[in-house]
This record gives sequence, structure tokens and C-alpha cells, in this order.
Amino acid sequence: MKKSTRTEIFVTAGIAVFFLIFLSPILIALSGSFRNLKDTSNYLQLFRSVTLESYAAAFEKMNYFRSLKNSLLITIISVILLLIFCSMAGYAIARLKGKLGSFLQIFFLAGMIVSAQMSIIPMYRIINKIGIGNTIAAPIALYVTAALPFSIFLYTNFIKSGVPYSLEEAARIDGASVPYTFVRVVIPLTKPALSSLVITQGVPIWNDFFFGMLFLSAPTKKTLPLMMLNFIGDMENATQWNMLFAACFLSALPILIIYSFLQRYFVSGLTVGAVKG
Amino acid sequence: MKRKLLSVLLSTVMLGTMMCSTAFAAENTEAAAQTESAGDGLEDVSEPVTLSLMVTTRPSTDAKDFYLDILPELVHEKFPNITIEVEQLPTDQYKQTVRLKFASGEGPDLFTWWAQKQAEDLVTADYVRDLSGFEKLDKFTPSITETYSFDGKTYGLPLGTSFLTTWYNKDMFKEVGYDSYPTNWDEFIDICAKLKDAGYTPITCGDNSSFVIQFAMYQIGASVIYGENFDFDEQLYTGETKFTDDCWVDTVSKLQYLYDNGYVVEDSLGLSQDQSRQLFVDGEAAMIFDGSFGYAALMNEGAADFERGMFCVPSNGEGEEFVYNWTPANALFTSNTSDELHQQACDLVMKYWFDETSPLFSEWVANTTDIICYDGVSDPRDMINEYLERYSDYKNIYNLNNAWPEGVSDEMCSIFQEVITGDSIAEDVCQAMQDKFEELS
Amino acid sequence: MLDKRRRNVLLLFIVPALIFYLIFWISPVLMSFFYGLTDWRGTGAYEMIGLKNYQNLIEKGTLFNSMGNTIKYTLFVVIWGNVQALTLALILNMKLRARGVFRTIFYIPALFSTIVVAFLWGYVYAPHYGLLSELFTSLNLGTAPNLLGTRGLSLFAAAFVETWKTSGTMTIIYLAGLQNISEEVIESAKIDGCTGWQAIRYVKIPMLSNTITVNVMLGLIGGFKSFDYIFALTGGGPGKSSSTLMYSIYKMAFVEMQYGKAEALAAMAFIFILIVSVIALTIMKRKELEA
Repeated sequence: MKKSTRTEIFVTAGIAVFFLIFLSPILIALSGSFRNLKDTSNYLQLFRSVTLESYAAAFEKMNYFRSLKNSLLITIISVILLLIFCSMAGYAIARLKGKLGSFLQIFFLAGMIVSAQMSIIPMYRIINKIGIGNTIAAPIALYVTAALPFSIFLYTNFIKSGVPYSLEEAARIDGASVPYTFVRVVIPLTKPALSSLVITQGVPIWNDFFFGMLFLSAPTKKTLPLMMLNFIGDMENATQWNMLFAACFLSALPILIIYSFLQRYFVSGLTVGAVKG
Repeated sequence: MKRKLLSVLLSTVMLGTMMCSTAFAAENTEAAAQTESAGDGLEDVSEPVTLSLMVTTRPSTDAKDFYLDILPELVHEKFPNITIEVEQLPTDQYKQTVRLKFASGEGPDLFTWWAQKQAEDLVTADYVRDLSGFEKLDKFTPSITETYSFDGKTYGLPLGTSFLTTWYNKDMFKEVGYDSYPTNWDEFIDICAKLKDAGYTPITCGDNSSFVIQFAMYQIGASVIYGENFDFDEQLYTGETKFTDDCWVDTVSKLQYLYDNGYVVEDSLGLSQDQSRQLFVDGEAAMIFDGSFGYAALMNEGAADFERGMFCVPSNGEGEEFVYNWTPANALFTSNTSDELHQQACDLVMKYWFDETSPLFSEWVANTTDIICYDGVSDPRDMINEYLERYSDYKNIYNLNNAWPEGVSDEMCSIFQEVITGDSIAEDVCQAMQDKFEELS
Repeated sequence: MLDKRRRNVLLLFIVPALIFYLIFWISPVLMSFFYGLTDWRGTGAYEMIGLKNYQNLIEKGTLFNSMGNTIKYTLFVVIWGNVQALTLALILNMKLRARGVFRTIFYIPALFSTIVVAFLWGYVYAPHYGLLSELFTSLNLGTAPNLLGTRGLSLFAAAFVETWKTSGTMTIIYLAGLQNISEEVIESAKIDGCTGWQAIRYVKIPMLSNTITVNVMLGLIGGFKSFDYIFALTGGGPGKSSSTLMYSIYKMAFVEMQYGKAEALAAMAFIFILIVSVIALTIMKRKELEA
């Protein structure tokens, strides 16, 4: 049952218009990023001029490649640790019988409520006491921990609904150990959950400046968002918006590329029909 | 004391501007020629040391930033053993981070901070070092240095001053028959009324960024509160005066009057500071409450081409005393918690920085956006000099919140927003300020 | 016997996450709650003052104002956020040739830093000449409301931006959920005579119940923790009409330097959110079983 091409064009055009409206604020930023450095006239006058001046300046001032390297390093390590920790814990919680399982689920879920802002002073002290202050280990540890509650919640939920216990049972009867079953049976079946975690948790880590601001004061360790802070002003000094917009796109570009590849994971084939009846 | 602030500075300012307009270029080359002799008596520290320096952001489009690039380079050139790591953050994040670092015993070696009440907690907690012995201290304008002094000890080296002011569109003023700025409240209101009648928006305010409310309030409060009682702030702490006193109610009411009569742009609560500044630059509004720090943004080219001027809101009645706003910007502080080697290095950096003959000094002078208050240095901006000279016979007062615990000014702005929406009256603002003041002090 | 060993291995699986969680998350929170019982100002010495902070917060009405605002904000984020994300996910799940492109661009809002997003929406909401205002004029709808400058509206204006920014995340989770619904089920529903809408309402949504739970919790907790857009778009204003719990806590701790009092408010907020979340989760789980 193939849709006729005409309907498809019609639907596609409709969706395109919808996205144009939905994303219109982004257009303001895009047009702003192509402006002359000092042009601050009303940002709704789209594409008044098109120059790469702001990009060049932002590129230079952010020390782009160095910051990109730092951002990649921190984000990748954090996400890998997160995936390992949360899949192990999430799987265990999903399969633990009785009260302990549900207690642990709630216990971890409660961590979502904590906002780092509210207990940052003790957090800061603990990090320094452990001796990882001023190293990239500090933000990494906090990124992983901050993302754990939601990730475990999502992963546990996914296993409970998407991974039939019968498959594991079968593996167990075949004599497979728990770790083996986990790696060989469970992980492959939870790829959609894992890839959505990479995106939904990886992107906030990439964009975050709060932990970085507190724990990475050496310029050589700064990530892209931290460098962007240099363009932001206050009540006395105006923000350099054009540079900031350009910086934003420069900083978003790497994840947009990674994302456009990763989104293929969602495209059918991987899991469809494998589970849930 | 503040009354005499100008006497020293102005003579130098005048001299500087009158001698030649390219005073700066001349000074720079001169300094460059003297590079070799600059700071000759200073010996490098004995072993390599890394100093942390924290400053608030001053975003610019220049290729090199004074704090991020020039300062570390020049210091390292002079003292190969000293490396400076600079961290720049926007004000809100900056305050939070610096305090947090000190509270955990890891304060930055050098950092900039604000005057009077805002620095008090750092001084009381013994986080910052007493700089009273700094040899160049008397080169800074004494009345400004004094704002960083507690119990007779000076903790900060003033990096400059600024003032709150009202920028206005001279062309529009001329059109409604005013060749000059107003000198009392009635004239000011008359101008607003005439501008409004002529179809212009008299004043734009970016009240969505609630802090801009301070810009208007402190200008109005200057004459209304301090014209009569210059010791109002000290008396707040003894209970002799209160925010609920008539002078404060009058201050808030005067500002409210501007809103009630439609002299302020409609829906100002939906405008951000950036948007409001743009309205002024585009010639959509005749006045904006801002400051000397708005110079770069407000002198920027906009949709309309017009001549700009500045005046401090004359909230005084005719013949009554006029007081204008002029305030310390910020100062360089140094940590009390770092070890001897670091402190030694900090001393070297400060000595080199504030040595008139060093290249670092001339770069600092050439790059700052504040009005430098250092003996013998003049501001390159004619408009600023003309302004300070014009008001030199009057008394001046700092930003009023400098005398309050932090938090009172936020309360003022947020309750005044309710006045704008019509949900509160002037007395509510004053009462809320008094309550917050008592709670926090 | 074997089951016991399995159980022990499973418990070991939890250990790495648990260690991080206890050290970096739980212990700072407990320490914070301790500060809530003191008059600490963020620097220097402090004294134990018992429950005075709590008493003050309740008497002065700070607690109830910010809690009320937080609840309104959260309801908006949960309801509108999910409607929006589910719609987007269904659109993006259509079999179109341009699907790859759409699936990439819809995520762009999530990639932007909050400060830039707030600035952009400032131009959407700006009175007289903002995008929304222009839209109203061109459609002859009169003057657009001054969203950020009106009591009662600014809170929702900020909440809308939050849903716009988080739409990417929620939609992805729905998309992952939709992948779990097999083609055959949909096909057989269509053969049974379901229209497109009926297939969504009676087949897809019930089968997504688990995903809906995840996203409702995400919206719920995101809403309760709302800070960024309040901070950047309204500053809690006009007045205090959009001051949420987290914003009040931040202001108390880092502007007014009343760290002890802020932590007392944080403790109350924590308990309140925990109770609401557990109730919500229980209800959602029950619904899931029914579905």
C-alpha cells in the first residue's frame, strides 16, 4: 500500500511549513550570526547582511579546536560512564524481585528532584576533599551522577516493557551467566533506549557550563560553552550577540552531525517486531 | 568627602583633553619607549608560579582582550616565572563562583569586586588581603579608594568609576524647543510632556531586565534623598532614617509619575535592556536611563542619525539642591588565603600594573571602559569629561545600593515592577525595602 | 540457590552507580538540609537556629507564593509538553522521504544554550514589534498581549519556552517508544477498519503508556526544577508573580546570601516534589496496567 507521490509532497510541504514556524526563533539567531560584528539593529530584520565576520571572530576567540577537543573529551567520557553505570543498575533494578527493586527505583528517581544549584556548596567541598577539584574528573563525575537518576528510570522502564523476560530465561536455561545474558541479550535489545540516552543526556552535558564554570578555571581545559560565556555581558556591558549566535552554531554543529547519524538508529529495522505483543 | 571627589580629577581631565585629542596615542608611544626602564626594581619570584585571576566579562569585538590576552602576556614577559590564568564570567555567575571558591578555601589569587557593602562579607570573613601598604595607593583618587576601606584598612585598588545618567536625543529635544538639558524636575516633566505631545516616546526602559529600574531610581534619589540629608545611609543603620521616610516615598513616586503619565514606553515590562537600548539608538525614544558604561552600546550607529547628550535626572525643585550620581566601578582585590609565594607574585603583578611607566599600565588605560581614577590619567571620551566638568560644582552620590546589604535593590526593582503593572503603590516599595533591609542587616 | 547467586550478581551491578550517587548527590543534599537549620550566610561562622528558617518562610508567604507558581508552571509543562512532543513524534514517524531531514531539524532547539534561547524568545514576545506582535497585526487580531510584562502570563510564557526547548528530548523518547510498536499491530488495526486517528487513539497511545509515564515524569520534575527560563526571561517578575521555588532558592542563597534559609526552602521543596512525584508515578503505573 504505497502512498501516492502527490499526497506525500502535500504532506511534506505541510510539515515543512510547520517546522518553519516552529523553528522561527532559530532563524533569528541564524540571521544574527551572519551579521556584521557591530550590527545590533532589530534582530527581526532578517539577513540584513551576510558575512562570516562574526563566525571568524567567534572561532578565534573561542579557541575553537582546543575547546572542541575539551568538550568532546568530557562529553564522551561522561556518556560512556553513564551508559555503563545506568544500564547495569537499570537492568538489575528491573529484574530484582520484591521490595528492594521498587525501593531502589524510587531511591534513584528521587535524585532527579535534586537540582545542583541547591546543594552546590557541599558538592564543591566534597569534590575538593576527594582531590579532583580543577581536573576534568570533577565535572565528569557530576555529569554522570546528575544524569543517573533519569537514565536509570528510563532504562528500567524500557526493560520492563520492551525486553521479554522469556528471552533471558531461555538464555539462562542454556547455562548463560548473568553478565553474559546482560551483554548478549539485553544490551542489543535496548539499543533504542541507549541511543536516546546518548542524545538526551549527552546534549545537556555538551551544553552545560555550570559545573565547568565551577571546576575548570584553567583556560586550557575550557569547553565550548564555557568559552561562550566570554561573550555574555551584564547590566553594564552589552552582550556581543552576533558573536554569541555564531558561537552557538559553531558549538551545536558537531552534535548536529553526530545526531543526524545517530537518529538512523531510530529508523525501523532495529527493534521493530522483535518485542512486545 | 565625596563632594570633593572632582577637584583632583578634574584638573587633570581638563589638562589632558585640552592639550591634545590624541593624548592617548602619545602616551602609548612614550610608555613604549620607556618599557626597558619600567619596573626595573622588581625581581621575579624565585620559582614558577601560576596565579588565578577572575574578572567579570566585558565582551568586546576587539581582537585582543585586556584581561584575557594582554595582561597575562605582558606579565609573563616581564616575570617569566609568573603565569596568569584568567577566568571571565558574567556578573551573576561571577559573584556566585567567587564566593563559592572562597567559602571552600580556594579563592582566586587576584579578582575584581565591588565597593562598600558589597565587599563587606569578604572582608569580615578575612578572605581578602589588606592593601593599605601598597606604595602607589595614594595615586588613586582618595575618595574612591575610601569606598574599599573598612576600619581604616584598604582592601581594593580602584579600577575606575562610572555614573548613572540619562542619555537623550539632542535633535528631538531641539525640536520641542529645548536647546539644553533640564536642570530641575519641572523642566524635566515639561520636556517629557512636550515630547509626548509631539508624538515621540519620551523615555524607553527595558523593565523586563528589572535591574534597569535602579538606573532611574538612583538618579532621582540622588537629589531627593541626599540633597537634604547627605548622611541618610549611615542613619539607616542607626534607625534614624528609614526607607519609608518621605524622601524615599517621594523618589519612588516621582518615577511612578513618569509611568502614570505615559512618558515611558508602553509595555516596558516586555522589553529587555538590549531592546530598550536599541529603541533609543534607532531614534524611537528620546531618552533612556542608563550609565556611562552604556557608552559603546548607545553611541553605536542605529536606524536614525542624531546627536546624543547626557544629563542626570534633576529631581530637585527649582532652586533646591541638585545631587548627581557618580560611583566607584570596581577594584582589584587579592586573596588572603593563598601561600606566600603566590602573594609575592600578586604584589609584583600589582606593582607592575600600576606603574605609570609600564606597558601594562598604558594598555590598561587604553582598554578600560570605566573612567580611570588614577592620578594623571584622563578619559579619552569628550562627552564623559564634559559631563563631569558640567556637574563639578555639585555634590555627588554613589549607586545607592552600595550602602545596602545585597538583596535590597532586587526587592526594590521587583516591587516597583508591581507599581508599573498597577498592583502596588510607592509606599509598598518603600515598606518592602525597609523589611528586606532589616531582615538582611 | 542459583537464584540467590543471580540476585547477588544483580546487586553488584548496582554498586558503581550507587557509589557515585551517594557521594556526589545524596551526601551534598543531606549536608544542605543541615545548613537549613542554621543561620549561615555563605561565609564565616554560623549558629544553629532550629526551625526558625522554616517558620519564617511559612509566615512570610514565600513558600506558598513560589510553590503556587511552580505548580502552575509544572502543569503547563507536563500537559502542553507531552501533547506537543507526541504530536511531533507521530509526525516524524510518518513514512516520508524527507523524514531524515525533519528528524534532524526538529532537534535543533535542544542544541542551543538556554541563554540564547531566552534572548530569541525575548524577540518573539517583545511588545509592538516582536514576532508574535507582527503576527497579530498581520492577522488583524489587534494588539498582541504583553506576555512577559503581564502578571499571570509571564509564568506561562516562560513555561512555553521550556516546552519548546525540551520538545526535542521528549519527542525522541516518544520516537523510541513508537519503535516498539510493531507494524503488524497497526496494519491489523487498519484492516479492522480503524481510521488514522482511531489507530493513534486506541492502539498507539495505549501501547505508549510506558513511554508516557517516562515523559510525564520528565515534565513533572523539569517543571518543578524550573529555573533557567524564569531567570533569563522574567527574573521572577513582574513583581514576584513568576518566582518559582528554584528561583526563590537561588535568589535567597546567592543574591541575598541567606544560605541557611535557602536550604530550608530547598528541603521543603524537596519533600513536596518527592511526594507529588511518587503519587504521580503510582497513578501512572496503575494506568499502565489497565492499558
